[in-house]
Amino acid sequence: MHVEPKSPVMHAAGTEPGTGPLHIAGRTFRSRLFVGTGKYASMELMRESLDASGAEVITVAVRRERLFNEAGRSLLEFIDLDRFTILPNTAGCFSAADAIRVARLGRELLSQTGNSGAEWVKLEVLGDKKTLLPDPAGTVEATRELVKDGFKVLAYTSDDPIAAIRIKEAGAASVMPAGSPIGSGQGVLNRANIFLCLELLKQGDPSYPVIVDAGVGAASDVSVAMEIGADGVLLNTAIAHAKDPLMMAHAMRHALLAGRQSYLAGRIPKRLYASASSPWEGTISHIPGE
Amino acid sequence: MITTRPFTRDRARSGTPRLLRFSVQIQVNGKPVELPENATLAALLEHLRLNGKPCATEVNAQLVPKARQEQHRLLPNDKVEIVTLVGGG
Repeated sequence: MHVEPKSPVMHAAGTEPGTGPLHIAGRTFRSRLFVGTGKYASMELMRESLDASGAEVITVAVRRERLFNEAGRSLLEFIDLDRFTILPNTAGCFSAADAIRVARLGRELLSQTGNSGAEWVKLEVLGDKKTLLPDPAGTVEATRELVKDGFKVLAYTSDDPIAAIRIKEAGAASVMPAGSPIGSGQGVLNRANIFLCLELLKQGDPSYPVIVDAGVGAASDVSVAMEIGADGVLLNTAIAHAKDPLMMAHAMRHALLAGRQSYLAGRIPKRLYASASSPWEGTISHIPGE
Repeated sequence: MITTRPFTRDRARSGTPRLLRFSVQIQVNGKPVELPENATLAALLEHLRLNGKPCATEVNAQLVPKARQEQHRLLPNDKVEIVTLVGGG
């Protein structure tokens, strides 16, 4: 007879367990998936994919206006500003000074729209164009300045646990360690480091939000990050460049929930030898060595 | 030199070319632009048909909020950045 386990996260009949909200930077979200808006084949496909992902927070970039291009369609025409919290990034910045400039421009832009993400920034201070790996010293410096200037800083960083701690100390509302380089699709390359980031960042502060940002290639990568105990995952390319982005957006939504539920449920310890699922008692066969 | 034509047309239509002196050279998004003297940042945006569109501006790496664009006069060699939101991760 199958007996339902007693689970502290089991909700009333008909509701999905493990769907508790994410609290971050003074806000509450039902979805723990943050998705980017870049690299889509069309604005329409982006809009559909955002919808299918279930994300409530979406990232955008700040770039030069294309002068005299009246045919160019604005990204904002395809985004429901009442539905999504827009998180402007500082992608492409290789110094704290440039990241601060871009963050302020993003805030100015979003404040014109009245979107709730106006005070938020996804801080990226990059150290190298080929790898897009973050510059930890520049990230700490920019975090400190932006926090002073009233920003809620969600800081992209590497999976170095000590760098993560320094960024939190600088005032980041969330530290977002990378699973692997941006757009590389390699998933979570160093689970132990992500685990250590989580342990150190949450020491004495268990509700401190940690988002695994970058490197996701497939839905299973999202599950892995969530299973380790991340509070959420931020991704872009894995959906936008999938053969079928819309299908992948659905997959990411399911994978995130599966990983979250698996984390909450508590995995079994790994062991070297097998542990039979069927009882030995009552076997009628010859067992070698017995 | 990409953005002088509409200003030039205005000058030709008015028939009073001396009133508008195209003596101020600035950079807009990395490209050279010639402006009438005393042109404001708001006038530049209007000229580029960007007024009313979501965009943010910087002059010489300093943010100029929308509320101050009307008052902000552009000076020779100013470096203007006009940015908007695009898709990104």
